[in-house]
Amino acid sequence: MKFSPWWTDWRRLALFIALFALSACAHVEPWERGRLAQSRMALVEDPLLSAMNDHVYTAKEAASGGTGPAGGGCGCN
Amino acid sequence: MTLELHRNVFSEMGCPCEISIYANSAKAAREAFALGEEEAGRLDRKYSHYRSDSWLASFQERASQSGGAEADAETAVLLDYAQSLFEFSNGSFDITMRPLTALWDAVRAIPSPEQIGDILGRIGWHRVFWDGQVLSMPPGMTLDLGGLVKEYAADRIAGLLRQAGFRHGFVDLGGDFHFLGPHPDGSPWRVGIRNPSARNAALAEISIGSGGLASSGDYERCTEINGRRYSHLIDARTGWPVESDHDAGLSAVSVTAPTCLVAGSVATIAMLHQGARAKAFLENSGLAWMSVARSGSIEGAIQ
Amino acid sequence: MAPGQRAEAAAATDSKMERYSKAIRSLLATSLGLPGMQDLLAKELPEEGADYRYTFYDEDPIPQNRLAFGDPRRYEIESHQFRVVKNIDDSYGLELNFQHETMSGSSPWYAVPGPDGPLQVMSGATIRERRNQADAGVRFLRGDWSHHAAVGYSSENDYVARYGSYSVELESADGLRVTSWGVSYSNDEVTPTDAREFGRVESADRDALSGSLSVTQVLSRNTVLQGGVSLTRQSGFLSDPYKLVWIGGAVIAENRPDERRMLTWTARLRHFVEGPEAALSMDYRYFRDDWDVAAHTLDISWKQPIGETWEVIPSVRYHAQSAPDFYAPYFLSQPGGIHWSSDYRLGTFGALSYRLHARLKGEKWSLSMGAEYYDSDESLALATPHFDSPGLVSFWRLSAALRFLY
Repeated sequence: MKFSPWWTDWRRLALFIALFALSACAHVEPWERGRLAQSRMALVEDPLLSAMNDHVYTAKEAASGGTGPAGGGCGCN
Repeated sequence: MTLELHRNVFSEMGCPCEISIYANSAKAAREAFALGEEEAGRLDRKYSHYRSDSWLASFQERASQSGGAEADAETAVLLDYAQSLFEFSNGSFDITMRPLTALWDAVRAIPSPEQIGDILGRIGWHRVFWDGQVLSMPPGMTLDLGGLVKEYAADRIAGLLRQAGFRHGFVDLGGDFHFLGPHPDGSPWRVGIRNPSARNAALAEISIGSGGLASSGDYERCTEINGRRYSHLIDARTGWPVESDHDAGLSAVSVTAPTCLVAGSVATIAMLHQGARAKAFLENSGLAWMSVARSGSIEGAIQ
Repeated sequence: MAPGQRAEAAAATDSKMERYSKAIRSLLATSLGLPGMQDLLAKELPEEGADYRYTFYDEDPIPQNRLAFGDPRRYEIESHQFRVVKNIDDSYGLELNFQHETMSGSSPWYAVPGPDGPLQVMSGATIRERRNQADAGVRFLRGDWSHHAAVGYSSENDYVARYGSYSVELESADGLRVTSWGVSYSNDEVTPTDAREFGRVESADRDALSGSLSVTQVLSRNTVLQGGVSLTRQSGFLSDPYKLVWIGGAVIAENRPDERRMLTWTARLRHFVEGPEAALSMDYRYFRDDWDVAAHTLDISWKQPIGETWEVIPSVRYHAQSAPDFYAPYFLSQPGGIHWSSDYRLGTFGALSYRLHARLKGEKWSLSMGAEYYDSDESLALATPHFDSPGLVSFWRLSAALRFLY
């Protein structure tokens, strides 16, 4: 099959790196970080909902992952 | 993994210091003590105004030359902080007022208005140019970070110990404390606040688990002139020591805050204010505090 | 914890800070700029608490005009999730998760040619099954490093899964970036029911090994961006033992390759919008594997607080995937290759789901309710579908959750 490892996926790798080159410009004072600490700004605010979403979508679609380490398997069909 | 209390007493910054931490081996404790002593030494060598070879001495030199001197990150924040305190205290707390303190330390009689006026004309943070990066000041002006560095050092050493994984213990630099965390069983540390009039007796006991604790007091270092005691705390606005030689005058204030630096600044400013103003200031801050008046009466509580 | 969250989480949620006067807070803020000061305020482990979530999942039945024969009523699942987080001291935290699910319904078996397109054959029997899953994890903090290890086990009457993972996070000196590496492994065993009667494989194994890398960066005081990549290799028996394929009139078991290598690229953005004080959340995933499946998934949500106690969260998710060469609803003649499957989940389709959640917050607890409608269709795909997939599913999902902090 036509599958190449991620390091040859040039366009996406370049985009990934570009996203973080931008970030070199950030200067955020410690006392300005209050917003980021709010739960609604969290990457995963509700772990149970997030786990259930992964479970449901992985069981009904061909794609999986991208949400953290593997957890759980089921014979879902 | 059993934690045991290890204690190290040393001398730095001209005062007796102590680091006590709970560690699971003597080796880990020794490494912690080395870290602490090294950092205290570094800050003393950098900022001490008693040493003519300190980094601060050369920085001052360069600041009075044309173009001024660029401050490194650590010094920049300390200067920003000193500026905030200057504004916060309406000019009473001023890191350029060393000549005033020296004047009052040395005299046998009350200095004349001309002597004071002469010095006031040469000092003052308002004469300094500080834009957050470059410091420029008239020749002859000096910076005295003594009121900040010891408290900062206590916080900094505590931060390093915390980074190294220690969670229970404290740093004590001549009475400026930072408590990393309570005893492993959760019980707080007990600190005795010294009684100004009875040297070896504790006036009150403070229970504290974590955070900074600092005190400002003048019972140890005052000047006696013609039978009257003059505080060693000089108000930079007036050029005179704070008026504390009466019953209601404060002889000591202790404050706790998340950092020793802020605790120390608040205690010092309360001492500069004196009286009812000090009490209002302390109550308004929201921090826990305790004060002792000349009469011996105690106000406030730290639990 | 994400960058910026360590120091300010403590500062923001420490109720004592609110009692300090503005002047004191400003002094504290200035002094925080000094090196090492942030460590003093850092509360690093996640919040302790217990959570429970109930979910009711109900698939729409196969429409009559797409059904060949069998029971059109699809899955209905009820699920209970429990989670407990406890911190031992400042450096160690424990997490325990437990899930119990009951499922019933008939499932798609294979498809057959029909006058207007493929028709779905459904399994006759409705199965009532139970699944239990438990996992335990430990988190360990030291300086800028945070370690997490977890193991888990899932069991139902025909399937057992065992899995473990380890990840480590490093926060940068300025606290604005967190880099994370993770590895996980799982080993599953399937023992299909009625194996002999239906000629299914009696027992088969599969395992998967996965590695990931992600970087989370604070872009501004209102924005955080996370980018990640992960590689997974699955091997063993990867077919679904219950699924069949119609090939030129004969119906035989599906046969997928026994190895699958998968790559995902993910990007997640969290942005605070100042006017409404809401958070905009966007998650994108690109998936590719060596079966030639490619998929894009975009999940956008808007978290809007209303007053001090309510929060309303509308969200939408779009998913599009393209099928591998060995997929077709049925084959008129022997397929060219040695693999074949008519599992609708491998087809080319797109799916849109709409959700609405609402949360009510107290000081130490919160209650949350949500609903989702998911619909998948060939016409929603980005790639051009070659076939109709009569088995594509749509469902409703309703849930309620309770959280306690202690």
